[in-house]
Amino acid sequence: MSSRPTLARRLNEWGLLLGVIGAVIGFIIGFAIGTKAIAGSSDLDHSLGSDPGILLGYALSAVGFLAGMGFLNYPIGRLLGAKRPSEEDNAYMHGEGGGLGRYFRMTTDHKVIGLQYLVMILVFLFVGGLGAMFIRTELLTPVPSVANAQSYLTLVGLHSTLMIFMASAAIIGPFGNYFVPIMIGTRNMAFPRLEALTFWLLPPAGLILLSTVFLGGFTTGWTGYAPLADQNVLGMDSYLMGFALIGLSIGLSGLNMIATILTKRAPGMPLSRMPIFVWSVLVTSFLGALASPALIAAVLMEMFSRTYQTTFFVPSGGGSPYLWENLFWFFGHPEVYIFVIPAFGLIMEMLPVFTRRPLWGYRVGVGGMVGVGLLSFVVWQHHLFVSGIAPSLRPFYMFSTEMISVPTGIIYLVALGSLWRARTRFSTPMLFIFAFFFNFLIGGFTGVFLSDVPSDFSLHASYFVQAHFHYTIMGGEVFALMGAIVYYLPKMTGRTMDIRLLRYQFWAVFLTFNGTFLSLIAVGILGMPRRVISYAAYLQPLNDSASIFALALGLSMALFLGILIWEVVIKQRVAAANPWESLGVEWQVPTPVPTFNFDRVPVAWSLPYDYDTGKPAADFGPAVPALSGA
Amino acid sequence: MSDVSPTGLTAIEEVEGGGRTLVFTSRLVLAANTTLQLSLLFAFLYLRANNFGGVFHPNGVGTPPQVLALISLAFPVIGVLALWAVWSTVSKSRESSALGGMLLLAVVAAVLTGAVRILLMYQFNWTLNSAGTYADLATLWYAVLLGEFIGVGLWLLSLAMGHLRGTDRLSTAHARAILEQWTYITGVSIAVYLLIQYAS
Repeated sequence: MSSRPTLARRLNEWGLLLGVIGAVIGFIIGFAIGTKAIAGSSDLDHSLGSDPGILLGYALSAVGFLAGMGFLNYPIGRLLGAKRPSEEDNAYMHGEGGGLGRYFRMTTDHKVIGLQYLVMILVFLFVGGLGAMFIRTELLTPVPSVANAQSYLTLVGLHSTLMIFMASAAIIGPFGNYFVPIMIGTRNMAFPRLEALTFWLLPPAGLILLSTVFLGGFTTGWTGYAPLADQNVLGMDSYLMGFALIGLSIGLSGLNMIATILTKRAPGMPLSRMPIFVWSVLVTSFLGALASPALIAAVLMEMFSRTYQTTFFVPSGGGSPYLWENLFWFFGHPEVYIFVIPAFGLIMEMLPVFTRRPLWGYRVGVGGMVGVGLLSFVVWQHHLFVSGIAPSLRPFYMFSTEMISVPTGIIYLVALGSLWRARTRFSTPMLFIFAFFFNFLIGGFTGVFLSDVPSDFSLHASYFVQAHFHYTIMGGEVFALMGAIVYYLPKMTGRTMDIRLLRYQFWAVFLTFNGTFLSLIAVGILGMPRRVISYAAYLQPLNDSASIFALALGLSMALFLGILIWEVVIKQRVAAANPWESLGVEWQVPTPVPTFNFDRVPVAWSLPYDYDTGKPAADFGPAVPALSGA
Repeated sequence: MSDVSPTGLTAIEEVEGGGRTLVFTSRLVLAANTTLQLSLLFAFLYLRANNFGGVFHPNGVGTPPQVLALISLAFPVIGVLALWAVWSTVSKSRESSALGGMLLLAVVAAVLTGAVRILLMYQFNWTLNSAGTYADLATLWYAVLLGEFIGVGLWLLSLAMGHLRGTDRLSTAHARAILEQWTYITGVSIAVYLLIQYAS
């Protein structure tokens, strides 16, 4: 290694600070240009600025942040025809040499990025969870008590949008980035800088969204329906820019994952032997890469509408709110599967470890996930059964939506088949796996009522929908996330959590979750619409039940975070090398994982679920040649 | 970059993927871009078909200036031809002294493409809040295409600079990927031109 780091490397050490400075400077410049130079600002509330000023300020603040982090160094160097970075520089960017500083700067090591994702997502989920606690506290009484209608709607919108942002990366972000390259036997992602970019788009997106509270908030919820979005104050711009950045992150992450999985697998690893989690990431990545451009198109139209008074969604100007709904849900429904399919993959990845049996019906399970992915592109109009869809289209979308239960059911069959005559170990991750299937089953059943046109007519926009959605996303994805954190933390950090304590936490979170959302299913069936601050007095007992359970749920989630921080960060409880006795290749490499993943070449790949014979997923051959300069 | 081992485990360095990865990913980008273009096409056809309020394309709202619109298509086509020549030369492993010239020609075509399309957008002369959704969508679509031309143009410039300054040898994969990207956007631009000019 050179004893004299280059200027770029020295600046990179201060990446986060420079990023913040760049964001502030970018916002000031963008705000000034947007406000002064762009004509045609909307005639809405301008007391805090103008739409062009805010939107351009946000855009340039994101650019400034990324520039400060060092993301523009490489492309500018290429534009000037400078030499490519040396191997030494690449090794530095990869985080070789270690140190805590890697986690606060741009790095190209997928393992560091995975951990960055994990921390960032937990922080934002905590913030979003606090929003949920405020919502349920407000709903303890049938009339407004703490908030007014406007601030309540902003709170609902912030909670839901922030959770959607984070849920889209909650599993692929930490676990996909960390484990996919290891599971397929490669040193790194296909485009490591792009991988870093997808992560570092998240903090600006989340913070821009949260900044809406300084701009009057927004009242549209996470769906951003027009023309309400056109009529909103400047806070709506935060929603639009945040969603644009998240859409970009989802799309780029998808492209990178697909390229990595399809072109960088180790020799001897055909698609038919890929770990099922990698399959789930592959399917999800296609959804992200192909669906997110529709969101970006819709968001661009709305940004134009708020800055240049275009009328894409205003009927009197030749537009239609239905256009937004179509474009949004063309992205929005696959988005739901972007949350859930990786959760399916993780669950099926962990299941054989605790049943000590091969995964039953591996190919069938893969087919199930591919089926869910394909069908997710042809169901979006079931969100519009009561809002503008041509009646003749309803049967098709009802049928296609109900069809999704077939591949989903196949995945359930794989799980049940794996449990059959299993020597199940009821360890904590396994409890989360069982809970996933229980919760998702309720989420699936309630979904059938919403896919069915007659019942959807009475349930649409009620708390029934909200409870259904939370059963699938929180009961499904978040339970899978918690199980995976317990399961994979020993590999990712070399630390572990108190499994006994986590059992109590599990039962607390499981019971309070179901208490909350079963109450809300009942509230929804009784006709309470979502996104309202006041409700009929006879609904108070059920609402109070939901609120009390929800507050207890919040405490049990906080307990999980508390245990995580106490055990891993403060107490630093050391984990065994392979505490679950997994046969997966990710558990065969040393902990901490070598900088470039492998110190010996993995050869002779087989399916990683051969628990009947106890054969690991890969044998290891000769030592990996060292990188020159490393 | 080595294409010998896709894992990088036996290659010395594998930071950005090999040539196969590059071309494959470039095509994935085209697929994602197609979704974006189809979203805009859907919006155009939907709004035109329904003509809400009768103001999709109100009387008195003209189309983009014909001559300038055609010129804005001519330069990208020249770029396609230049990039095809570049790719053809590189893929045959010819050490041609004309390669630098062809790259420069492509860069000039890209710069002129951007310049003319910016000029074109200033010539629309639409007042967007009263020109109907035809004008709204045409403006947005031209802006999106302009952004894409600029993005790919910058990539082309970086490849040309590396070649001209001798810091980076132009690979077949890069030549192919940039040709495909530029051709795709040019093709879409022609289709959008026809749609905006004649199908309103």
